[in-house]
Amino acid sequence: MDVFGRMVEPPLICVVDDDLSILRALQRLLRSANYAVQTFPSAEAFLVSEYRPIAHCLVLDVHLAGLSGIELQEQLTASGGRTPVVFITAHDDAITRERARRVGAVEYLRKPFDDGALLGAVSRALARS
Amino acid sequence: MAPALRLLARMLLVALGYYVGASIGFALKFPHVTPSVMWPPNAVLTTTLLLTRPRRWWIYILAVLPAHLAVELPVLSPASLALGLFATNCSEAMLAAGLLHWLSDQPSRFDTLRRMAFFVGAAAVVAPLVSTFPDAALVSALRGERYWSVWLTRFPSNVLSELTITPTLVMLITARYARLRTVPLRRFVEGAALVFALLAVAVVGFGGPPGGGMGWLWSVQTPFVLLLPCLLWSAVRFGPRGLSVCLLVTVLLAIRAGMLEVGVFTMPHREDGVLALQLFLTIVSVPLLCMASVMEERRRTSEALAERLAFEEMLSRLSNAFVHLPSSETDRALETWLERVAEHLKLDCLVLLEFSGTGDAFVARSWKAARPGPGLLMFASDDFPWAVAQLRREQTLNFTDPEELPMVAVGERAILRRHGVRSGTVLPLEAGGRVLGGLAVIGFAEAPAGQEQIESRLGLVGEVFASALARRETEDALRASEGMKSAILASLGSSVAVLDRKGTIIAVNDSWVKRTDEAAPTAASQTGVGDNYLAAWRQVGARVPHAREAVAGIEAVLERRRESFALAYPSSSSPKSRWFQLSAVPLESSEGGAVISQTDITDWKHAELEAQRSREELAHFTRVSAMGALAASLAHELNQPLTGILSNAQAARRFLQAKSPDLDEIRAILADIVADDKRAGEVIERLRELLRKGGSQPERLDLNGLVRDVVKLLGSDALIRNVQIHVVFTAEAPVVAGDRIQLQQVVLNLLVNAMDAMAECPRDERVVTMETTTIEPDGLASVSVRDAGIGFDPSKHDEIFEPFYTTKAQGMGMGLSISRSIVEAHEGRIWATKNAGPGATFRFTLPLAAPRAL
Repeated sequence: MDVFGRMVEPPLICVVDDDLSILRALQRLLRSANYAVQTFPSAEAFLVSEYRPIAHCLVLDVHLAGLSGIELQEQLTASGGRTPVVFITAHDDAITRERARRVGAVEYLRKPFDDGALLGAVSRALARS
Repeated sequence: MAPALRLLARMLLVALGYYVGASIGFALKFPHVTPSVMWPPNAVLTTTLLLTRPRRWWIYILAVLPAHLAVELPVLSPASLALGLFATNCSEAMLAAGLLHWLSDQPSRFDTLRRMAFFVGAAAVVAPLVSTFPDAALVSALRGERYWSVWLTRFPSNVLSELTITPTLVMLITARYARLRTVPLRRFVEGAALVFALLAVAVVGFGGPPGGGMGWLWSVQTPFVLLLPCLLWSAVRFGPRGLSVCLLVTVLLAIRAGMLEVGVFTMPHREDGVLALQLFLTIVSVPLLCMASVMEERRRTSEALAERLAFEEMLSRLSNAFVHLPSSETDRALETWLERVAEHLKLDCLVLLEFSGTGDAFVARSWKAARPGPGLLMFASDDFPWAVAQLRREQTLNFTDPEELPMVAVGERAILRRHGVRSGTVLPLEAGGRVLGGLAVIGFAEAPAGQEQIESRLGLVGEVFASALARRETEDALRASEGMKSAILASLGSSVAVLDRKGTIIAVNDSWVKRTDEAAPTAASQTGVGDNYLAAWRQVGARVPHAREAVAGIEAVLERRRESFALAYPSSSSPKSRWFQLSAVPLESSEGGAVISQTDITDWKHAELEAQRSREELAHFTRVSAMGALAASLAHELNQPLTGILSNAQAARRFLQAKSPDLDEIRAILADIVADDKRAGEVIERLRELLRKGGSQPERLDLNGLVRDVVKLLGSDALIRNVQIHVVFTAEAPVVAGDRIQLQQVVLNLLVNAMDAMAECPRDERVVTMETTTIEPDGLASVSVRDAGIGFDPSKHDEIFEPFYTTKAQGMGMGLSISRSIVEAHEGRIWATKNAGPGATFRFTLPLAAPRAL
């Protein structure tokens, strides 16, 4: 509900990660913060999904089999997408971080991360949009 | 003298003899009697023909023709009679000599009864008998005399001439006057006494008044009785030669008496006297000649026998001398016996040649009689190339004049002539089918008679010398081989003992004797020659765990059930840990037995353990380094489940803050947390296994599973590096026996290398294909890792497996080297091939494990 007491649609968060267990855990965490959540096991699955244009925020794993998270974001940006992105990664290095920054990441989280860190990053991303 | 000149001289001599003989024949006539008492020319001619080969008779017959004519033509008429008588004289001589040449083995010798009998029969009976018929016919025809009276006067005269003159002439011509030097003085004295006695007796016997008289003294028997002792004396003491000379003297004296018209043979009727004298002399001569030849034959036989016995005795002493002679004394004995043999055989010079080795060089030992002649001969090996070659071919050399040697032997001829060598015989000395040397007899004078006999005796002596040389050679070789064997045995560091068939020690080397109790802390420490080695092992059997195995192994070798046996064992009693190797091999002898050697292999064993330890440490180190490279991948691998756990747990906490928490949701969360936790545990377990130090036992491994584990371990790494790993597994599980961790490391190294090789490639090309296959016919399993990276230079194929070869900035260059040593330790092979496209394929094979027994 918004300040006017209207039932508002909760923001839609799309999560892309090839680890199904992590996908499920993040879905639960975001749901507990009252976000609408859609999960995708690969970048390709997200690209063809109907949720792509309506997502309010993307949580992307950097290292994905096939198209990586950063490449996905580059494609989205190239096709005019403005959806803010939070990158998560289990493999942290300077090069990846730099690339993430360049493609306009709101936040870059190193796995494992606290719920506060993720939820904070997501709300900052939503605020930007 | 040239042969032609010599022949001419002989012809002249014969002609002269004939002429003198005929002259004497004409002179030897009783007064008032026409025919001669004896007719010597026939005997001269017979003698000549006996000493000449029949092919050359015509020369001498032609030679005497002028002499015959010169004597007879002046006194005989008509001239045809002289020619006819020449023909009959010649026929008598030719018949006599021809028959003797045909019948007798030695027509010019009268030293056996057989030869003498042939002579008497042929020359003194048949030839005169036959030739007198034409002789008498000729005389009676041309001179008109009565045939039978001519025959009767000429026949006895011819018989007597042949009987007394021919043997005397032959034997005087063939006599060896050189031997007179060695005849003792008393023989000369005896001979002189005989001549004196004969002359005295003959003077008395044939003397006296004509026709005999003075009562008993001069009867017809008187000469016979008086002469017989002297003639017997000559026959017994001086042989046929002495007798024939005496007979001739007697005949001449008797005829001389008749010519002087004294003695019993001067009969009223002169022809009767002549006939009586001829008969008397013939009758006396024949048996005496036969007896003399028998005496001579017996004397020669006994001499030969004695000589032979002496030789046999010497030969047997010679053989005995060498039978038990140590080889070191052979040289001196050879020299001693060379002298004895040469002296016994009365040789001028005897040389023993001994070949050294297989070449033509020889060592010569010579002995020379202390007679006048050249000094000691010095021979050099290369002076006699031709003779040595003949000897090597087992040819006997024989020459009575160096000029007889063939033209190729020009060197030999020159050197022999220079040394004044006249004759020589060289026999090869052979033993066991090999020519060891030669035995040479060298003569400085004309070759003596009996050459064949000396040669055969030298052959016997040569056999003894040859066997002595052969024996020395064998003994020397044996000693050298014994010396070498014992030197080898002594030089061995191992303790060596020789066992007989029952296991008793019959010989040991120095090391065995010197070993201390500490160095050989087992059965060997108490054993020596004469002890039973097996028994010693059985004795310690209770205390030593490997004793039973040692006894069984040695017994198997002793019984020829095993070709060899070896056992490595730790010492049981020494304070320090020591290792020994016991080995047994059969003894190659008809008696059976075995050779035992005990070697201290402690150092070797330590080195082996040390090497194994360093290998494991290095492997561990390279694994740890590989882990360093994988750190990022591992962090990712662990962070994934940790992220899942953390997020799930925090989600659950948030759910639980709600008024009515959804318990199903909480349960699902907990299940996910459990699963993630296990996942993290597995990662850690894989990591720990990889980092564990080696030393595990070989086990049966499924290569497919092994490759799968490694791929899983490196999966995150591959993800990070954007490398796709394709795995193609063979359908049937390839089972090999080996060390899991080590083989995992090989696969890991190959996979990491493959990914490293593609670091610079475009992303879509970063593909590694891993494949397992089984090659059933060869019993092999193989794993290949194919990348599309930078590849390698095929000319450096062998180098890339060497330690410290690397193309990476941070590489140590140990990965492939370690991989190769691991694969080879598993009896496998590892190699690399360049792909047709980009990149390389590394492959290793391992033998498939035998199927597990059901």
